[in-house]
Order: sequence, then C-alpha cells, then structure tokens
Amino acid sequence: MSFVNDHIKLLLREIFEKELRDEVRLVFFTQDIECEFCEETRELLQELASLSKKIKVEIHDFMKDNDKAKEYGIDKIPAIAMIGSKDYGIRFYGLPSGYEFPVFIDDIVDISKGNSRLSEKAKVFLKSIDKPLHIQVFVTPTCPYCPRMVSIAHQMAMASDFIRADTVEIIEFPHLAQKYNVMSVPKTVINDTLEFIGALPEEQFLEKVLLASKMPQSPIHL
Amino acid sequence: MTYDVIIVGGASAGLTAAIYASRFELKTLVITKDIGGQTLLISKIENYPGFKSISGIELMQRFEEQARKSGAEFVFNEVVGIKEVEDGFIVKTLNEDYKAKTVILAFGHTPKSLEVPGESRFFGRGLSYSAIIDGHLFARKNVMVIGWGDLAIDAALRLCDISDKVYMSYKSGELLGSLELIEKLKAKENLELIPYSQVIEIKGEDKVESVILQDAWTQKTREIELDGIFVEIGYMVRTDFIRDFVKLDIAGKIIVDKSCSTSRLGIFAAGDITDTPSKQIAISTGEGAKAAISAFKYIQRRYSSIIRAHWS
Repeated sequence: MSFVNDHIKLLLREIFEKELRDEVRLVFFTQDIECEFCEETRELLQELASLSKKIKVEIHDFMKDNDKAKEYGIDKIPAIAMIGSKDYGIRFYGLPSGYEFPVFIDDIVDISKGNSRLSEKAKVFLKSIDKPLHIQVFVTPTCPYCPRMVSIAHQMAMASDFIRADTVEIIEFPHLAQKYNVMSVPKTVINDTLEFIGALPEEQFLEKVLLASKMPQSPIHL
Repeated sequence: MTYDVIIVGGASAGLTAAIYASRFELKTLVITKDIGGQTLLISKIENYPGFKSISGIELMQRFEEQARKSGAEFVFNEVVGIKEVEDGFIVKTLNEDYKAKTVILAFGHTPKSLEVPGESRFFGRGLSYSAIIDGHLFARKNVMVIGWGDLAIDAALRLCDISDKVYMSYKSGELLGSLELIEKLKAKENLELIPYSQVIEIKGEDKVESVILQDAWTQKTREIELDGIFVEIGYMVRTDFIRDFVKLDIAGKIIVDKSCSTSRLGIFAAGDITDTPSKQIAISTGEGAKAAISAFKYIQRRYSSIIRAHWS
C-alpha cells in the first residue's frame, strides 16, 4: 500500500532535492508483532526515505533494543525520533497523518537545515533556558488547529538544547488521554506541571514556556 | 515603523485584502491568531469558483501563499485594542503595538457559547465547540450535542458512529437542516432527541459529569449523566474591544457601507465580522478585495502619496 500518491511524491522529491542539506535520520521504534499503527508508520517512513538519499530510516524493536529506546527517551510506540546533525529532541508518537503530515515534512527540512524558523527574539529567549523542559502536544489527525502548535513546539526544541518536544497522536494512546485528561485538542502539557488548550500564537506559547521554566521542576517522564 | 495597512484577521476576507493591498505596493501587515479561521473546519468546498472541490485548509494555504508572495508580512498574535493617533492608528496586540495609516478589520466570527454556569470551566474538560476536532476523544462515551441546525446535525451524525449514546438537546420543536441528513440521523439507534429543552447548567468535579436541562413547556428539569457536551449553536462575533471605536449593529457586527468603510474614517472592515448578509467564502473574498481598494484610495487621498497600482 502506498500512503503518498504519485503527485505528492513528485512534489516531495522536488522539495527534498532543493531544501535538504544534512542527512536526516528517522529513528523508528516498533516491535515484532507490530502495533496497530506501527506498520503504517514504518511504511510511510520507508516511502519518504525512498524519495531522497538524505533521508535514512533506522528501525528498532522497542522491546529488544531497549537500550536504544532509552537513549532516545522513547516510552511508547509507534515512535519516531527525528535526528539531524544532532538530536534536537523532536519526537513523533503515532502515525504522522492528516493535518500533521505537512508539519512532519517541514520538520525534516528544518532539521536538515539545522535552523528553526522562529523569530530572532524567540531564539534569543530560548537560548536563555537552562533547565530541561518537556513539551507534549496532543493532537488528532482531524484537527486543523493542531499543526501550528506542533510546528512551534518542534522549532522550540530545535532552538534550545534543553527542550524536548513530543507530538502525540492521542487517539493511538488512549491511556495518555486518560492520564492527561485530553478532551480537546490541541492540548499542550509542559513538564507535567503546566497545561493549556488551543492553538496559541508563537509569543503566547513562549510565555507559557517561560512560565513553565520558572515553576518547580517535577520529574520528567521519558 | 509605520505600515500602510494593517489587516486584522487571516481568513478569506483578510488574506484577500492582504493580496490586494500588497499588490498595490502598500506596506501590508496581517495580524492574526491563525490562518483560515473557521474555514479550516470545512472538509470539502464545492462552491468556490475555480475549484470543483477543495478542502478549507488547502484553499486557505493557497490564499496565504499568494499573500506572502505579493509581499504581505504576517504576525501571529491577538489584537486587543485599536486607537487613533494624529497620523494613523495604533493596533495593540498582547505584547506589542503596531502602527499603520489605515486598518482593515477582518477577524471573522467564533463559535457561539451557551452562557450557562459551568461552560467556561469545563471547556477542554468535556465541553467542546467542534465534534470534527474533538469527537474522536469520546469513543464509547456518552455525549450530548446542543443545537438544532446543520452544524449540530453533522456533529450528532459523527458522534453516533463514535460514541455509545448521543443526546441532542434543542430549544425548538424540530431540527432545521437538510431533510436527508435529518432522516439519516433519526434512524440512528443510539440517539435520543430532546426537543424544547434548554441547558441551564453543566456540572462535574474536574470534568463534565452531567448536564441539567429544562423543559420549555413544563419548566421541569432533568439531569443527564454524560462525559461530553458539544455546543454547536452557530457563530458569534467578538467585537467588544472595538465597541467604542466603530459602530456595531445589535448583534455586535461592524456596520459597513458599500465600500466597506466603517463609521470611522480610515478604518475598513470585511467578511463575517461585518453586517453584510450571507456568510460565504466567495463573498468574504470579494469584500476583502473591496476593503483593500477602499484603503488604497483613502491613503492616496489622505497622504497624497504617489503609490500606483500595478494595473492602474
């Protein structure tokens, strides 16, 4: 089965050809008997890798390669750690489909270029963060307001060595919907201490990050 | 720095105004919370000329791309106030002020709220304004749709396939929408229609647990236990912050004339935020174009500038 139709493949080939600089590794975690969306996710990644020499897919077994999972801080599958010239802390949990697909492509390009598209002001602010922050953005594939939050969160991770940003396709992880009381998306949780609902402009999102960075730290769930 | 035009809002009307204004070589800034607004929720648009069928998000992305290519700048922020100064207007956002010679207001409308106790407290905790976005989070749960029109019918149809039990509460006696969809809805076995009912309170600890309905005839109340409430009662404009700045109609919409001028010289408005009838993408784009042309003419007259359009 093919996820990406020929027309989109052509477009992606062009984008990757023109935009990619460094190699991007999509480190994928699945297991022997693949989970509900693991197979689809793996096939999608392999299809993307077939469109550019600069995209590599690495497949790991979540159970057997436990050390690798730990190294990348992976605690559920399907999981994708997106790695460029370094690990910027960008993770995708679940199949990056629907409205999230274009963000996933943007992420590949950004990571390859090693530069976020945030404003200069935002970059300067994010450099001042000196404590680990774990941002989780919970989304569904039918939410048109989610991609912007995902995009900002991932770019923040790029701009700071202390920020790790996860996108979680929440329908695939009902236990997390329960744990974090996700009843509307996008829902963003920072360090398990601060949460908010809805799509915020970059500046307001930054304010939340600033607030979270000043809050007492709770253990980060990796 | 002073912009020629600041456009508040980034959907059909605002983005079209941005395309026109920047093509007039006006220095144009769009301040918006998001791109596309409510249009993003439309999965298939089949009445916008030039496209047999296109999704809301794709159409809006094309608008945005064209506006950016024409030279418009974008700031993603919320506008909280506008004031007039000697040589233009100051547009205040949450954390920064921007200055322009003229302003086009095109920030559309947002989902209408019920205005009942519990509503704001439970937003995101079981209360939602869109079954398209949040419906899937209520799989095998009990939910209620509030509303009687197309939006509510569509929401109930979606939820009947996802959730266990779906209630539908509305003030009138009948649903109002396509007969075909109403028939389809009424055939659903897990649906209970509650006509002539009004929500008076939403209750729960830290998330929605029940809703209290009042019967319009008997005034008797009924408490229904459930996990989710979808408010699908249409849209409203949020123009409170400009109430003393431009004239609004009784519904809060900005009153405009045929050229999209508001009651204040130099301020224009377009799209769903105005009192222009018929809310359609094609109409909003037309109004956005008109507002930009009016803004251009205003700048030419007031500042007797030598700006010329590409085609003039």
